[in-house]
Amino acid sequence: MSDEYLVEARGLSLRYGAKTAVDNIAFNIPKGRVVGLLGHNGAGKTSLMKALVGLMPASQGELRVLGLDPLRQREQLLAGLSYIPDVAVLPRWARVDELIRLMSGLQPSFSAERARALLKRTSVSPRDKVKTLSKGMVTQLHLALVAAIDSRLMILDEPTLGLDVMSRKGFYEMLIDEWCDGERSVLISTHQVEEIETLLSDVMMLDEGRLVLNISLEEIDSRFVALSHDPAAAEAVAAAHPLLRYRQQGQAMALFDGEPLLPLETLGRRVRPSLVDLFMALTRKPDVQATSQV
Amino acid sequence: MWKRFKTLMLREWMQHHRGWLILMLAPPLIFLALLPVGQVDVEESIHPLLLADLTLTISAVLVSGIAWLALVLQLPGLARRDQQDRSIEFWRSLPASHSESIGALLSMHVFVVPVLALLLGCLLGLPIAIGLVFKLGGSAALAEIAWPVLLGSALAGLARLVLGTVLMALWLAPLLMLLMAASAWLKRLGVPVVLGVIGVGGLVLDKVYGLPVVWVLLRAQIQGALGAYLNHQGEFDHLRHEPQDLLSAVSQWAWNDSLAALGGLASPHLLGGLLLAGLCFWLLVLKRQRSG
Repeated sequence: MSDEYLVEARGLSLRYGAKTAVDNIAFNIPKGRVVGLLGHNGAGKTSLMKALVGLMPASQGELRVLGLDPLRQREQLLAGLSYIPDVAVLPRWARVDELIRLMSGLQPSFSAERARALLKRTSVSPRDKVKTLSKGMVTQLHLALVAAIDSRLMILDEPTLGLDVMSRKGFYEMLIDEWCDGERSVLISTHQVEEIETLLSDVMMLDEGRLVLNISLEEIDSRFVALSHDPAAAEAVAAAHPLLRYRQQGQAMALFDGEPLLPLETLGRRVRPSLVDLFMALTRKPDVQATSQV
Repeated sequence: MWKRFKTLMLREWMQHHRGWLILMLAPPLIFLALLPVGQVDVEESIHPLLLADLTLTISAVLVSGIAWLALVLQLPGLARRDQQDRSIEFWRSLPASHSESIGALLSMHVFVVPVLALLLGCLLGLPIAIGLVFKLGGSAALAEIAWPVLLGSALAGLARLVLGTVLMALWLAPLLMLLMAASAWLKRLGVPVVLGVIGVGGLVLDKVYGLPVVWVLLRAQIQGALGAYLNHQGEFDHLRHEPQDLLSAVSQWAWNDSLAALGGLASPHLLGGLLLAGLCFWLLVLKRQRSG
């Protein structure tokens, strides 16, 4: 495995007993990327996240994170990694300043000064107890704590699940402003595809444990074609085997993997495919997934 | 590694210190508050120095006993604490091993807190002793107390009790750890199941098969624990007539009793108990690994 990538997975499978959570996937995450890990419930996102931080063994294949074996070198890995495992998991009895003190003692790369500076961006004060904070404030506090770790990789597992739109926006603003610097990478698993689309540089889509897409946002524009067409052209569009046919603002749409063999200009208007549509297309059509390039 | 362990112990202090301090400070402070209005019956012939020393000792042992009682009741629940409030995910995201987390929890609750209870009990015993002696004998009785002798004997006694606390924790480790491991794996059923299995199993083996092995083992552990805390009473009767010998008598007793308690460690029961405690510790680590 090379030093070029922060995360490298080869032929990785994860299992809970007889059930396969992640099935023979391969991917790399280079530095300076913001990668969205998308998938329905049970797609294998959390299992993959757990494997990345050494909380779940690989049943097959190879996985390196920051050049380390997550399972065997877990403590060493976590010392140089920022990780939010879930929403609102901070101990409710603790005060904010106590958490900063504990992080200082437990996490060698943690800067208490930086955490305090980050908290000034939020409405959380050092004397607040976690149990008195709203879910959104707890999430911002958690982000401030992990963003104060001098690491090259941040792993966020559904970090904004259940938060209101303001809290989600605040969270992602803080993440991009205060942590992403072009050198560090973030891997975010989420359902909320629309909201993070503008933040991402890359996207990985899991469907029933299989990696059905691993691509940069620039490549999406060049590889996938979305066509807004008149109902009259529906038959011609359907004959070209689109990945997905749907409606957007009352307009019939079709999504293709690659340029369709159609005179696009006569059938409708080519538009930029959205991540949500792509997600729906790739995770709802198993026959297409099997043939799609990863 | 030591920094991490100390931080995990600090975490225990942060989470529980309020309860601990209330538990340790409330009884002596209530006694102190009631002393001016309450009635105390004490043998009149007792020398004020001995009365003060006795008060210090009783205060320390009583507060320590309360801390132990609270510990036994609290410890099984601590095995599932982080899973119950979901913070286990947070702790597992930090570079501390599960062994360190559980080790720090046990060190703090089983060793540090009972010792702290002894120290606080002894410390608060001092104003109680002063108040008691003054109440019973007035300022003349207070003047009879040789303070260096009292403090010296209190320190010697305290040193013995601190050692006894640590050794007692070792003797009780299998019982405490068994309750913790059962609680971690069986949740609320853990403690009733352990008590039921020991009780019913012990009765069946004893009454049906004539093998009182469970009672023998339990008795050995509890006797070992009590012996570790206080091996023999010593001979203090002569102090009634020679209270000025308090320091040398207590020092001598503390030394001899400590040696006897340490000697008691060379026991197959202790070794077997520690092996069982080690197994339960491993079960706790395993459960923590599988959480979440």
